[in-house]
Amino acid sequence: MRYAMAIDTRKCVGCGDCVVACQEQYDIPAGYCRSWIAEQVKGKYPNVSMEMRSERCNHCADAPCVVCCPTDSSHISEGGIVLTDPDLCIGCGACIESCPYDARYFDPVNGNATKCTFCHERVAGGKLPACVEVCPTYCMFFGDLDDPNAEITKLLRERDYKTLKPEMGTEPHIFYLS
Amino acid sequence: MKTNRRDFLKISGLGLGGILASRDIAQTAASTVDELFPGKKRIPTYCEVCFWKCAAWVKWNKKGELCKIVGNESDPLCKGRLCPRGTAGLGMYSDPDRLKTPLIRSYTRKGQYYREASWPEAIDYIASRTRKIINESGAESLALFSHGSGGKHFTRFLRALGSGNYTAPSYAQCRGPRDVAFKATYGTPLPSPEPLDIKNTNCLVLIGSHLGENMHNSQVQEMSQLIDRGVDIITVDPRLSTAAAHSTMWLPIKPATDLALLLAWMNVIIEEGLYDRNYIENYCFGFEDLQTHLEDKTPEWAASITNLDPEKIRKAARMMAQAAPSVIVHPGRHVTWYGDDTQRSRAIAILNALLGSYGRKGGIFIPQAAKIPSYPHPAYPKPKWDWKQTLNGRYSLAHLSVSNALIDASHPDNATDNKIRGWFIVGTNLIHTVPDIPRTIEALQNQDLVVVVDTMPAEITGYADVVLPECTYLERYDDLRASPYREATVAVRTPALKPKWLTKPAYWMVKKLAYKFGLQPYFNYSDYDDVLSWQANQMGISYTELVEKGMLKVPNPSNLYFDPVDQPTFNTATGMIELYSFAFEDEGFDPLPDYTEHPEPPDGYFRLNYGRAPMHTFSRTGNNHFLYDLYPESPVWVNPEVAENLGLRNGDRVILENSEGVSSEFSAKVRVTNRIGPDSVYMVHGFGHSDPRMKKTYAKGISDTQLMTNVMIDPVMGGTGMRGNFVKIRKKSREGLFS
Amino acid sequence: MNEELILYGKNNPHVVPQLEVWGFPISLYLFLGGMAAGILFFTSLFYLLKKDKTMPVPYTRATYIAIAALIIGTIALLFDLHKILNTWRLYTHFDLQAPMSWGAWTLLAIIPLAILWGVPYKFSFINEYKWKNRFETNVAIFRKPIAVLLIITSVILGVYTGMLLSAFVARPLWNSNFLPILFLLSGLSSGIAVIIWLNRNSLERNIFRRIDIWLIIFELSLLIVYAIDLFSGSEAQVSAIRQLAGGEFAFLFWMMVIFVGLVIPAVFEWRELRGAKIPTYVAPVLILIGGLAFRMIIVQAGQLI
Repeated sequence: MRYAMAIDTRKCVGCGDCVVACQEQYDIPAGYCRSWIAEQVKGKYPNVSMEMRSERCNHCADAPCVVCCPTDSSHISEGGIVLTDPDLCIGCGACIESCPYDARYFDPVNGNATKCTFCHERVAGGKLPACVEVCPTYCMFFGDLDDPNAEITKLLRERDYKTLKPEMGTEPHIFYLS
Repeated sequence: MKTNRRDFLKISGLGLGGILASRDIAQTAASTVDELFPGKKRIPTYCEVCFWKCAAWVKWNKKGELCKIVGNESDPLCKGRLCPRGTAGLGMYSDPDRLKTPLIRSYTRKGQYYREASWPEAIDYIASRTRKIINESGAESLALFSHGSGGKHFTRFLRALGSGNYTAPSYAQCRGPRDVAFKATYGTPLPSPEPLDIKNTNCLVLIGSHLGENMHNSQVQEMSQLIDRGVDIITVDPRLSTAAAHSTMWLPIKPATDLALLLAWMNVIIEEGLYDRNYIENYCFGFEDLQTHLEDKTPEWAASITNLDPEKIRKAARMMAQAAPSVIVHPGRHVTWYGDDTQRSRAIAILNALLGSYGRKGGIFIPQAAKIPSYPHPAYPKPKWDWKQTLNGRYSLAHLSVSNALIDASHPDNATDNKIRGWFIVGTNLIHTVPDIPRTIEALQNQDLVVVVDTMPAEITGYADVVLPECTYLERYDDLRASPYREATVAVRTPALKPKWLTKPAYWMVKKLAYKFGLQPYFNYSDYDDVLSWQANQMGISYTELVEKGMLKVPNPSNLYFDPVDQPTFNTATGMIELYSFAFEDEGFDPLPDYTEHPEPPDGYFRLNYGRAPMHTFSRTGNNHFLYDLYPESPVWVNPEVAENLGLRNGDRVILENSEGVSSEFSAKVRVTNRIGPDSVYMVHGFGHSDPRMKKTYAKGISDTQLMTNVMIDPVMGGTGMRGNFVKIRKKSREGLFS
Repeated sequence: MNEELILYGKNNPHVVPQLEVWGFPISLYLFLGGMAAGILFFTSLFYLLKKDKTMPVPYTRATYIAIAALIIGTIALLFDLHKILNTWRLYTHFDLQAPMSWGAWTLLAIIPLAILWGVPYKFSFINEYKWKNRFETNVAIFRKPIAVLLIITSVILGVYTGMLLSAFVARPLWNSNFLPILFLLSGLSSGIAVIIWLNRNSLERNIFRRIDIWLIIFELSLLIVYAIDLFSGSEAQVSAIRQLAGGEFAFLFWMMVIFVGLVIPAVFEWRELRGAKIPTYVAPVLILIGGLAFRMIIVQAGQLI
C-alpha cells in the first residue's frame, strides 16, 4: 500500500476549508496549522497566471525527517505514511530543520514535533482524510497508488502532474495535477 | 425629547461579572451529547455564518464531545460539503468575546457606561421607551435593520406593533439593483440563492462575480464541475481573481466600464445574428428598439472605453452564443458599485435573454421553493405610512425597503412629518455595512431608542441604548429554511447546544417583548418547535422525520425549465420579457441601458476595489478563532509599478486616504502583486474593526466602508454605489523581517 | 515577476514566517563543542608527540576549559530539547544516518575520556587518599590509548558540529560538504586560542601561533571555496550565500567573522611572531568571538532560506 494525495490545481480556489477541517479534527491549538494554502503568481499584469495549492506534509518516500531523527520517532508507517511517535520524540527539532516543505512544528502543549498524519486513523477506518472530505471544490483525491483501479492512480496516469521541490529528492506522495 | 448624545462605548462597563457570577452560568463547557440528547450523535441545523444557509449536522465524537459541523449530504446547496466558514461555525459558539448579558447604557456625571442587566430589566426598559415613542408618534416611527434568521422574528414584532419600516442592507447595499433589473425584465426578481444552472451550462460568464473568493457554496462546487468538463469560463475583472485564474478567458477590464462591454457583446450577438430568434420572437418585447439602440455600440467603441482587445470582445460573445442557450451571464450579487447598477444589471438580464438562457437548461432555471405556511396569528395592523412615503417619489422602482432611505428618515435633516425615532438593529453591523458612516451615526444620535441584538460586540453595539445578547445559530431554533433551488426543500435548525451565558434566541426575545404590548396572539408558541412542527404538519411532512434527516425534499411547484408546450408568462406590463422596459420608461429612467462615464481617479489616487475572502462573511467572522488564524487581516494589493513609484515593499504598513480627506483608522500591509493593474488597489471587505471588545480582530486591517464617503446613489432604486471614492496610499512603517 | 507566497494557514510560530527552531543554545553548543574538540585534539596530539614535559599548558588548565566547555555545551543542548525528560531515548537508538544520534554518542564518549584525561592534573591538590593515588596510577597506564581515543573522538566531534547542519538538504546554506571541515578548522583554531591565552611561555605560544596562522589561512581559503560552490549552485543556494556576502548578514559576517575572527588575529599573531608587543589575550579573544559569531550567523542565516 502506498497512500498518496492528488490535488487538482485547476479547481482549487484556496478557500482554506482543508485547513479548518484539520484544525477542528485534531483540536490543534489556536495559531497552529498542519495544512496551508500556497499561491504562485507568474507574469506581468495583465499577462498573469496564478496557481493555488493546498499543501501539507508530503509523506515523502525518502523522507529527510525520518533519516535525521536520532531516536527513530519519525518513521514511515504502514502505507508509506510518515508519522512521529510521541513516546520517542525528544523535541530536538532536527526533523523540523530537515523538512524542505516546513511542514512540521513543535506542539506547544506537549513539545512533540508534529505535522499532518494523512489522518491515518480515519484512513484505517475506511474514511477519507478530514481535509479531503470537506473540500468544496472536490479538488483533492486520496488513495492507494498500488491499487490500479483507484481514482488517484487513474488521474496520475491520465493527467500531467508535478511534485513540490523535486530537486530535494524526497519523492513526495502529494501530487499536483495541472 | 432627545436623549443625551450617545458616546461610542467600547468597554462593556461596570458591574462586569456580577450577573454572570451570581447565577453560576459563566461556565462554558459544552455538555456532552448524551446529557443533552440521549441516544443522538448528530443534530440538524442550517448554517448561519453566511446567507447561503447550507443544511448541516452538528456532530459529536465517540467520546461524546462536541466535535464538528459537517454538511448535510442530501442538501442541494452544499451536497455534504461546507465552506471554511461553515466548517468553522463552532468558532462562533466558542468565541470568548461574545455578548454575554443584556447591557443598558447608563449615564453618570463622569460619563457613560454599559451596565449589565437582567433580561426582565432590559425588556422593561425597551418596552417603556418603545411605548413612549408609539404614544407620541405612532408605531410607524420604529424601524428595524436586520440580517439573517434572527431578524425575521423581530420583523414579525415590528409588524405586530404596526410598523412597516423593516429593512435589510442586503437590498440597497447589495443585491437590490440586480433584483430590480430582473424584475423589470422578466417580471420577477432573482431569489437567493440565484437559480443558476451552472453544473449544466456550457459557458459561464462572470462579470462582477468572483466565485471562489465568495464561497457561495453550490455555485463554487458547480464551477468546479465545469472545470472538470472543460467548459468555457469567461471572467471579466480588473483583477486576476481566483475565478479569473481558473477561466478559459480573462478580460482585464478597466474598472467602471463593464456596461460598455455588455453593450458591445449584445451588439456583436445581434450584428452577427447569433441571438436566439425563436426565443426573442416568442418571449421578448422590444428587440427592434434594442437593435437600434446598440447599432453604434461596436466592440471597437467598447475597446476604447474598456481597454480590451476588440477581437477578444467578439470572441467572448461568440463563445457565449455557441453555447446558448446553455450559457449563464452571472448576474452577480453585490452589485451596488457606481450608481448606474440597475442599468448594468438590466444589460446582464437582456444579454441572458438574447442568448435565450433564462428558463433553459444550463441557463437560469425557474426556482423551486417550498411554500411554508405562516403560523396562525391575527392580521398585522396596517401602518399609516412606511419608508415609501418618506421618499417623495425617489427610488420609485425599489420593490423592497431601502435601508439608507430609512437612515435618511431617521436623520435630523428629515424635514417631512414621517420621522423615525427608534431603531432595532438585529444581526447587522451597520457601521461596516452602510457607506457614509458619519451620516449613519448622526441618524443614530437622533433616535430616542436604539436596541441592538447581536452575538458579538460589533461596532454597532457601541451606539446602543440596550444591547441584547443573541445566542448563536447552534443554540437555537429558527424558521424552516425553504431556499429556492432546483428542488424544493425544507431544512430545519434545532439547538445543538445550550445557550451560553445569558444569551437567548431572537424568538424568545420578541415573545417577551410582545407580552409587554399585549401582542401574545402574534407569538402564540411556548417553544419555537411548536411553530416548526405545526408548519411541517400543514405541509404534510413529518416533523420527526424532518429532524431525523435535517432536510426533506417536497414536490416542485413548477417545471425547472420553460415547457416547450406551455407558454410561460412574465409579470411585466407586456407580459413578455421586456428588453425595452416600460416600467423604467414610466418612471423616467432609460428604458434601454446606456453607458455612462464615471469619474477617473485624479493623479496620485487609485480606485479602491474591494472584494471577499473565502473564509470571511462581511465583517462578522473576523473574531472567529479558526477564521482569524486563517486570514487575520486583508493586505492591500498594489501593482509592482505603483509600488516602485511609491517606494513600497511587501509587508509595508500603509494608511489609505480617500479623495475627501478621510484616512483609514488603522493600517494594512502591502502586497505587491501583478494580479492587479496600476490604476487600482484591492482589499477584502470587513476588516479594520474599531471595537476593542473583539479582541482578536480589533485594529486589524483597513475598513473599506470607512473610506466610502462619496456614495453614488442609484436613482432607480436607491442602491448605494460604493466605488465612488479614490484613495491614495501613505506609508506608515516598514515591517521588520521577523514580524 | 514571479510571486510565491503562503496565502494562509501555516502560521506555526518558529516555523513561519521564518524558521527559528534552533537559536543561540545550539550556536553556543556548536562553538563550545568545536573549541573543546580543538583543545583535546592538540593536547592528545602533543602528548603522543611526547611534548608533555616541555609544553605543559595544554594538559593542565586548557583541559579543564575543554571539560567545562563540553559540559556547558551539553547543558545548552539539553535545554534546547522540547522534551528534555525523553533525552534518554537518544541512548536506546544508534542511527548512523542521523548526525544528532552519533553526536549524542560521541558526547557520551568524549566527556568521560576528557575527564579521565584531566584526572592526573585535576585532582593534584588532593593526594592524601590512597584510592585516588591508585586510581591515578591506573589511569596513567592507559594514558596512551586514551590519547589515541581522544584524537579520534575530538575529530569526530569537530566534524560533527558542522555535519549536524550540513546533512540538511533542505537548508542550502548548511548543505555543503565544506561546512564540516570549516567548523573543524574553526574549532581547532578556537582550541589553540584557549591554549595561547592560558600560556605564559612565549616559546610555546609561538609554536601554536604558527599553527594557528596556517589554520586561519586554510580556513579563509575554504570559506572562499564554500562561497564559490554556493554561488555556482541553484537559485536557493545563491540567495542563501548572498545573505552573508552582501545581504542581511553581510555586515556581521565580514566584520565579526572575517575581520575580527580571522584576518586581524592572524595579523596580530604574525606580528607577535615578529616580536611585536601585543597583550597576549587579544588575538585569542578575537578568535573566540569570531568562532562564536560564525556559528551564530550560520545557524541563523541557514534557517532563513
